[in-house]
Amino acid sequence: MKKALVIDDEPLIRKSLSMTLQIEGFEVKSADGGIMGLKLWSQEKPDLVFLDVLMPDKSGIEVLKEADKQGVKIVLMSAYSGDEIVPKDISSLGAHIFLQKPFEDIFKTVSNVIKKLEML
Amino acid sequence: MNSSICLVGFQDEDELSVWLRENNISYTMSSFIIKSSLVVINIQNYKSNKKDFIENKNIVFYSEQKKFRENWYNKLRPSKIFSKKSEIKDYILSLKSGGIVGLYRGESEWVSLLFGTSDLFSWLSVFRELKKWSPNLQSVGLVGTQKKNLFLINRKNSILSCINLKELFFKSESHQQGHISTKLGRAVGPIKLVEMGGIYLLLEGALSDIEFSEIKAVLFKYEKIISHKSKILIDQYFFKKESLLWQTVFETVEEPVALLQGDRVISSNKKYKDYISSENKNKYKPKKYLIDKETCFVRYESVDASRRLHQKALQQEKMAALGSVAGQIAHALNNPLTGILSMSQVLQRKYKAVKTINEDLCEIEKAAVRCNKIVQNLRSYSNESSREEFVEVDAVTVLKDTMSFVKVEVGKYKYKVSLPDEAFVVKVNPQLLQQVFFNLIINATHAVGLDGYIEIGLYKKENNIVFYVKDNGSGMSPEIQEKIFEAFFTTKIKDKGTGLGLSLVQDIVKSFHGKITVTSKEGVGSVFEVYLPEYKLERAKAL
Repeated sequence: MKKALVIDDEPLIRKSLSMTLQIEGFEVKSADGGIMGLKLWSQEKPDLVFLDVLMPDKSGIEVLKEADKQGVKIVLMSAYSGDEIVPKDISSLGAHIFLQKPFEDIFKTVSNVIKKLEML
Repeated sequence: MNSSICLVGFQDEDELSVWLRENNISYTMSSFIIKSSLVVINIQNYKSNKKDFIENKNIVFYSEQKKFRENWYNKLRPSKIFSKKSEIKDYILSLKSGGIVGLYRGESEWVSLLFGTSDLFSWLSVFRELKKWSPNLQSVGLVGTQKKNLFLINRKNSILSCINLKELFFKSESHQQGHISTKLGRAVGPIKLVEMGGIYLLLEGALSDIEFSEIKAVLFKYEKIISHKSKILIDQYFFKKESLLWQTVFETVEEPVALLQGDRVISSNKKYKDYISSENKNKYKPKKYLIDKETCFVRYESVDASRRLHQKALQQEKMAALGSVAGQIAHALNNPLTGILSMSQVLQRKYKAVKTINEDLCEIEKAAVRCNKIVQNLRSYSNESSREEFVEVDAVTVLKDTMSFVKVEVGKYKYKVSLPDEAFVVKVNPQLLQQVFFNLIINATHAVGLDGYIEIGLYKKENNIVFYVKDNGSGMSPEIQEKIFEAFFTTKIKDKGTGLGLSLVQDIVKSFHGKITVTSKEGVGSVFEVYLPEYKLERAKAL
């Protein structure tokens, strides 16, 4: 069973993403911030990570710098659109996909992401 | 005083030094020049060390003589060199595109123009243009100096431009020529020329004391100086009803004006006579200009007009402030909204079988979607760069989205929406287009009564896409129709709108290279139409 990790400070987003990923067949863990996120990342060694950029304790960008990204598919998410928050070239950070919030339809969004990642 | 642009002009460097001293500006002449955003120099009048300029990249030189231009160009390599005044004017006007040099930088920015004698009114027309896109550039006036020149100033008493009085006087009626030139001597103190509704009054007095200065002469929009500080001339030309001055000044002014001796009215225009007999006295506020101890010239300024302008300025400030706050609010709302929207979708699936819960969750989802639309609209008000990006959108889709947004309001009345089957492609900012549709539709709901009927739709006409909103409200008189796109002109007691006045709607439509029209008949209703150029890929490729 593949493992997924959701790191986002918004509880409803954590919950809804987790439930959707479970439907897609993942075993899901979630963290409410960057620090907890890094902890769980090294502990659980997930295959797929959904990572929010702006979080109060540690940003998603910083988490990416410190995490072990080997063999992990990474989805960056953000409610913000400005370049100063999310750099244009996410692949240089090690991320594979960028998702803009809000998600019009969470099921479609997640299944599209999974499809895209399978092709990578 | 918040940020403003000041344009200053001088005959030569001596004038500049005097002016700096008189205005207690602590810069030396060189540093003043360096601090200027833009310096325009008439080369032949500039004698000082050219090194002053090397640090200022925004120098433009101007001289009508080729040898000067070549000479100075070789020495200093200014950014631009002009041979005609009209070119400078065009250059300054061109600065407004792609970012205005020196405006709104938080502190006063100086744009200096050093030039020789110039035609007053061609410069006035430049400054009028500038005034249009720089609301902080106050009304233009004139100031005199010891050197028989008139300087153009703004209301902050900064000098804008300079003209030679002698030149100007010779333009006036010929039989006065000799008379005036012998009367012309050194001005005792600064003379101000103040523009008010097309009339120019030349006033002598303290720079800061414009209200109680003596009237010395009158210049009016026909660009003639009839009189100057000689009392004889003022008697002849100012007080006498039959005089040309009287006729031109008093008869043609829009507002009530009068000449008073103490409380007695010596002369006044027709408007003033209406003013003193009407109930609308409090629509005007008086501004007095003393001629001597007893005599004064009074001009009555329309309170409405100035209040509207003031309100527009306030509103613009509010909008700008709102813009930056809107962006922040939009971003802050996004996360929780995403959570609500996504969770409601997930739960709907989980409780698919429980109809009642499912329906409620569906409503939560819809509410979240509506909130999201508001957030998107907030974003369009914010100062994000997306504002400037135009993309190809289908106006039909935008209208459909707008309809979902206004359904509650419009649903109170009978209405019909005509949506075409094909795509109507335009190149615009979609959020702003939605704002345009939204505002016109909501206006219609405000215009109609209980039996209201509103028609909304899109059609094509000669390479244009036309959006229309038709209502059967009370309609508008021709006078109101003329004013309706004016900034915050409203016939409502308290503006019920959600933020954009029709004038801003018009601004948006214009930025899309479109136009907005209104047809209305009192007792019948109104039709607003927005014309937008249709975006055609083939045409774009051909360009």
